[in-house]
Amino acid sequence: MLRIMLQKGCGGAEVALADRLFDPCDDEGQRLAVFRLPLGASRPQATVAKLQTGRWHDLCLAWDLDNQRCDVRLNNKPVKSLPQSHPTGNGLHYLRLRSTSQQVDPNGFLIERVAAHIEDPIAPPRSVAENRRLQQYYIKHHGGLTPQP
Amino acid sequence: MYGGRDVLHAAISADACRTWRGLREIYCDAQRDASPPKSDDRGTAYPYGTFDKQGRALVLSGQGVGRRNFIRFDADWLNQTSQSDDFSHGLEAWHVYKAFGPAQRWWRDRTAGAALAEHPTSPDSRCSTYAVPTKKNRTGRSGTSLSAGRAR
Repeated sequence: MLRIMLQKGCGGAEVALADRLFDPCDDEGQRLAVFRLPLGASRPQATVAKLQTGRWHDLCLAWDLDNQRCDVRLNNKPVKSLPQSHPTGNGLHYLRLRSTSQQVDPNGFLIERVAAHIEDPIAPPRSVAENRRLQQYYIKHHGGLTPQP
Repeated sequence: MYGGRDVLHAAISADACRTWRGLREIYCDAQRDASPPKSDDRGTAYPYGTFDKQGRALVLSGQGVGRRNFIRFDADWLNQTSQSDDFSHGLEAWHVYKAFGPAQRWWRDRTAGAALAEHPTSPDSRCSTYAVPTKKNRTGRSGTSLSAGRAR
């Protein structure tokens, strides 16, 4: 759950859940996020839910990796069920918050608080073959790697 | 482009490494919002770990000046299933760094992106703001991330 306010004039925002750490400003972190939720104050910014500016909203994301869905509730009302964008081996680890404005956005958005709770904290066992498939997926879909010295 | 090994994670297994839990951050580079050195090592990598007599995990890790640190934590912390933040401790639990300027191999200038702001309706509280406020920051949109631990 997070409590969010879009400031008046906000150029858009995105909330994402990721299974590993990317640099916060790395576009790959959005592209490879497991679930993505674009937010805005107007269409077409708000592809999922339109948020009124200047007021706090309670946003709740309930993910279910077995069913590959994430149910979104806004102010305690269901608004969307997001499809899982990428597979993950160990589950979700990171909440990512980004401005999606293409211009300098002096307003942006505010976060008041965040809370996360998980029901099943144990990463499931994987066979060697499953690990190899997951690694190949990561390699195939992760573009632009620069070798580490 | 690779990051700077800014974070070290830990997981714990109770069934001889068949399954794992935790996968939480145990060490974040305190200098990760600043531009890294152009030479020499940096980051949180290369840990050496053990346990003390009380069962606490002891880890020595990190590379470069000011980054080699001794970390001690209760291993049961890896079993916890909740995390929350209201910014009363600032942004220490968050990653807010952003790159700007040209990349030179693995190196790129950094600065903090998101920042703390006055709460618009509760003067005694703080909140975090996400915007693109300066020319310096224009090369990358603001972003931030918070580790929430493993979840399924």
